[in-house]
Amino acid sequence: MFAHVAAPEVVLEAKHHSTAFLSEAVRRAQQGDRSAFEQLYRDHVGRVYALCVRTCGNRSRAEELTQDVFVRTWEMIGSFRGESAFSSWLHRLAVNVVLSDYRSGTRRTARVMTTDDLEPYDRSLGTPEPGTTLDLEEAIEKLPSQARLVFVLHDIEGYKHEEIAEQMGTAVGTCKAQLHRARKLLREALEP
Amino acid sequence: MNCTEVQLLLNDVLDGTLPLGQQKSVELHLKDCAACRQELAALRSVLDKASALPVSIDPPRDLWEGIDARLGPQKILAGPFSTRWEPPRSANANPSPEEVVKSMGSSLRIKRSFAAAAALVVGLGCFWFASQSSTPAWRVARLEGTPRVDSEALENTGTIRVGEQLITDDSSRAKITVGAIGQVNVEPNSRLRLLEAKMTNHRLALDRGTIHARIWAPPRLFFVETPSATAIDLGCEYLLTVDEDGASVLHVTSGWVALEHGGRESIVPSGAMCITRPGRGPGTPFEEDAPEKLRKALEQFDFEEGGTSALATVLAEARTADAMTLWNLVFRASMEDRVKVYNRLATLVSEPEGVTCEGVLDGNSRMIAAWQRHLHLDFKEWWRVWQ
Repeated sequence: MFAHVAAPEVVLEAKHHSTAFLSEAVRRAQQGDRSAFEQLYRDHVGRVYALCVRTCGNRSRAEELTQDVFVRTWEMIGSFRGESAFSSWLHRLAVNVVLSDYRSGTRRTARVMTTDDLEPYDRSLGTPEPGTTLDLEEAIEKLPSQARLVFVLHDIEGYKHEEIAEQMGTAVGTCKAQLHRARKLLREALEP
Repeated sequence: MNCTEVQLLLNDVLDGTLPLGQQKSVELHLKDCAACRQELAALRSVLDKASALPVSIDPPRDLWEGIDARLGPQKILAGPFSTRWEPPRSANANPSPEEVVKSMGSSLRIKRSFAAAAALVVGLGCFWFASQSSTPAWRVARLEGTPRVDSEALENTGTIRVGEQLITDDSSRAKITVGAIGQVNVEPNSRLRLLEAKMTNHRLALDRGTIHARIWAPPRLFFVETPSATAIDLGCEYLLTVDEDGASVLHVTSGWVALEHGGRESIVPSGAMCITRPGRGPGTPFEEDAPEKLRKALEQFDFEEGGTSALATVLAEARTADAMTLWNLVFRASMEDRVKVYNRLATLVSEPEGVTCEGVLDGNSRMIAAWQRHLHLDFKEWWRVWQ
């Protein structure tokens, strides 16, 4: 019965900016127009940076990753055909850049630590000053790296365990365990 | 169950993934155990706070300069061929970012394959372009009566060139062969102009009358401009009528058509219709068999400032089969009315798992994609299996 339902792509784009301009900006950027691409950057950088800073927990690294995302977007924008919202396509690309970076980091540290399993100890997220509580963003930043990545992708970005596990190269069970661990640590950190 | 056992399952409770067999036992325990209830509430509070986080965070400094300095040449796919031309059944019509990222980190072997493939594409493209450029005009055939190309009567067959117009009176019809990508039948009382006849831009203007277009090329190669919107072929067959005032009605009989004007776009699927008005662009698509009251209210909503009142009628009249219309309206209604539209949609069609109204209205791409899959709206999937 629902074999044909149109995607309201333009309206979704309108959340960020004028839909006409975005559409036109994508087309022009595909033809190599840097000023159009700059406008796309300005329209979407907040969303991309939010993803990067939350997943990597390091602001300066997040800036680098954000730049990587847009450089790769520029390189590959020709493959975007408009069958989904540009913002969705870009976001998916950003997630994969972040995961790719995570996997590289994992390989770099693999000699000293097995990251497919839970880290051998749970560290506290820090004790807040008496009478204060940690802000959720701060608490996320202090999570162990794998738990933070899984929490952001699952509980904030809405990805499924199966997708995250596949991209991270871990088992689904490990992914779930990391999520539960992240929630527990955040709950403790946010307790008044 | 004791507290330890239950606390191990609280995340499954939150995620709605607790097996049915354990659900009752956990509920029973929670009823009597304040500590576990408190733990569950605290975890839920974390998730509530997470879902309330801003979607966007401005970086502490402008990163554009650094990005701009690193921008090199775009991949071959960014050229005029690749964004639009790809064999329809050859796997992926819209490379996903996963594939994009994987391809970027690929081995030398893959890079070489890519270069070879790119060279092949460019070569074929040049060949095709050369063959097309030798045919600057499109063939026209008379179907009935005496159509005219500019002032000349069309005997049986002829050509139409860029800048020329094809005119049919009340007893004539004609057929245009659109390069190598399709066919357009021009019905009586129509006036059509050929604007572009390039490989990547087959463009007509329909000033008045009716055309029946059948296009078998990849999306976005064939365009028909009308006084109130541009119809963009997404691989389809359709009927388009323009009246004397420049308003138009589109019926899509196969595939999808996008209507665009002034930044407003409607994507119309097979079996659906869409109205356009000069100065306003396309309205909300609706099913061919949509109730009359719904159609009228939709017209008021789209073009006559019908607002909340017209929307209320649309919602009241909507059937399950009108889910496509409601899905579009979720994003077209005023901010105050969007929740109402969403709730009506969710009443007619069960919500996909893990999706919330707040998430969708907040632009959560995963949830929106879940709805689109749920409603079988995946254009990419349609295009992949198109033959």
